[in-house]
Amino acid sequence: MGALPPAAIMVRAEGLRADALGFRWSPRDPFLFRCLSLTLAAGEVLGLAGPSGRGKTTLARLLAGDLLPVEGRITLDGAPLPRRGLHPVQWIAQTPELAVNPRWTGARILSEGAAPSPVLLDAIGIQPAWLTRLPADLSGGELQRLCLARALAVAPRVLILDEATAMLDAIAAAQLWQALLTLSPRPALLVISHDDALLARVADRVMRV
Amino acid sequence: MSPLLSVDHVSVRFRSAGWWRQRWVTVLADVSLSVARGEMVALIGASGAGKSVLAQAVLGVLPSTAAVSGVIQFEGTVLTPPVLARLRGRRIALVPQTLTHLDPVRRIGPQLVAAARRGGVPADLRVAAVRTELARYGLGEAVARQHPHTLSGGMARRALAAMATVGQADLLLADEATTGLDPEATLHALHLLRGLADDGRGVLVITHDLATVLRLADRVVVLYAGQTVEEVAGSALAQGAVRHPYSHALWQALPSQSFQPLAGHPPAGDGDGEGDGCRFRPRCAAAGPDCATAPPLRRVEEGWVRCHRPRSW
Ligand code: SF4
Repeated sequence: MGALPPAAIMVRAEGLRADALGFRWSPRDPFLFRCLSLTLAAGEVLGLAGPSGRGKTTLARLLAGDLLPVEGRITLDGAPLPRRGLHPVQWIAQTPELAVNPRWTGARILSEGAAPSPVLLDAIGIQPAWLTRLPADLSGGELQRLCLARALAVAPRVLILDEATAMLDAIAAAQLWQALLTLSPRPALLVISHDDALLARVADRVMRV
Repeated sequence: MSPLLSVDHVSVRFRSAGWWRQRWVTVLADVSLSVARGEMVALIGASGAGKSVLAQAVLGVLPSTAAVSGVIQFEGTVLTPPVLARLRGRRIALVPQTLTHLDPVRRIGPQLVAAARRGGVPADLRVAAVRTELARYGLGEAVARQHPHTLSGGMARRALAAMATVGQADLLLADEATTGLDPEATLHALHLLRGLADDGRGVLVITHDLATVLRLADRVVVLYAGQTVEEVAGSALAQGAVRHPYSHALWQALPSQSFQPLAGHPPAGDGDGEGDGCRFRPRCAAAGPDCATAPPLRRVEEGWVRCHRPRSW
């Protein structure tokens, strides 16, 4: 590979980049998707729309390092994603109930990663009273905020929100988005949703798969 | 003619064993609604507002720690446990939402035939009924010979819906507020339910997906902190033509509207210590001194509203 001028490398290497990703569960299965490429610059909000069954959630898991791609590669600022340690790409799923230990209090759930700062908790609107409760005594919106704080506490570069507010009522969803979008500093966001009105509100651009 | 389902001033309390004495937690405090044939009614509200408890009360499947007051009637007959035992599955059916309701080791066909038997379909008509039902959901006859795990998520959902509707139940209850569902499959299920209402059944949908129901439901019942606060036509809610400040805030928070969230949270619902007065008062911009007394549910021309100072437009 020939040498590139330093400026060109800087531009190319910025942010999260997926090149020609392909994935299938085993060599006998058909590909869920192939030749899927995307870029996500620092601070950008990218919407991802498309019918179910096209592998949107699988793509999220590839980017978050939960699964390894069968084809293609993923880089962050030009370097491959780390295989261990705190992952720079965090993923929030639709069901916070499945993402937390039901026997842990809010405080314990939060202390699982890096402990979030009080400033962060305040910005996401987490009430001190929630920290002493068990997941069953928290509403979906409250629990989703705890998951969000836990993911943000490790200062990820990219946060993937996979239908993260689909199970919330309109007010709880709008509260959560407002908190998230006004965070500063804020990671780049990849927003997976079936709701076009929501994507039009929150995303800088929308990609369809 | 009496409606299929009428729920009058229903309250549900749960007994919770405290460390030295029992406590009662009120989950529903005065809910009223009705569902007629040919109608799809949606019950909406924040999670924790008691939506799913109402479905359990109608089906008579509340845990033994619950105490119910108020009256629930089906075609004018009060739903007591023996009446319910006769009607449940036959005239009143729950549309199951999770795939765990399908038996993983039995083929779809026999499961549907069994559901038709429970649903009161005569023996000689069951196989035909199953065939019709599969066709209604766009499922080929080959599906009857498949096991649940070989179906895609969307197909399995349709098979589940077929289980509920293959019988002759007049009233269908769907609790879409269950978390963990693929939003697209949920949307599809709601359209199927709309079709069933158009065929003359009554449908009660419990959901938090306001954007969808206001396009599909004839009437929307809004719950806040365990109370019905408003009942309004779906078409009116779609335009924000609502009377109660909470319904209006819900509508305004939609991404298609201003996307502006209302500050604060619904009361936690622990204990009866909510005090007197309107339960929405701490978050209500329209509140005044009169709101220190609890507002009754009042008839307005388009529905019902529980507010001393209803909005006008
Ligand atoms: S009764 Fe008063 S506090 Fe309650 S919703 Fe109406 S205006 Fe607001």
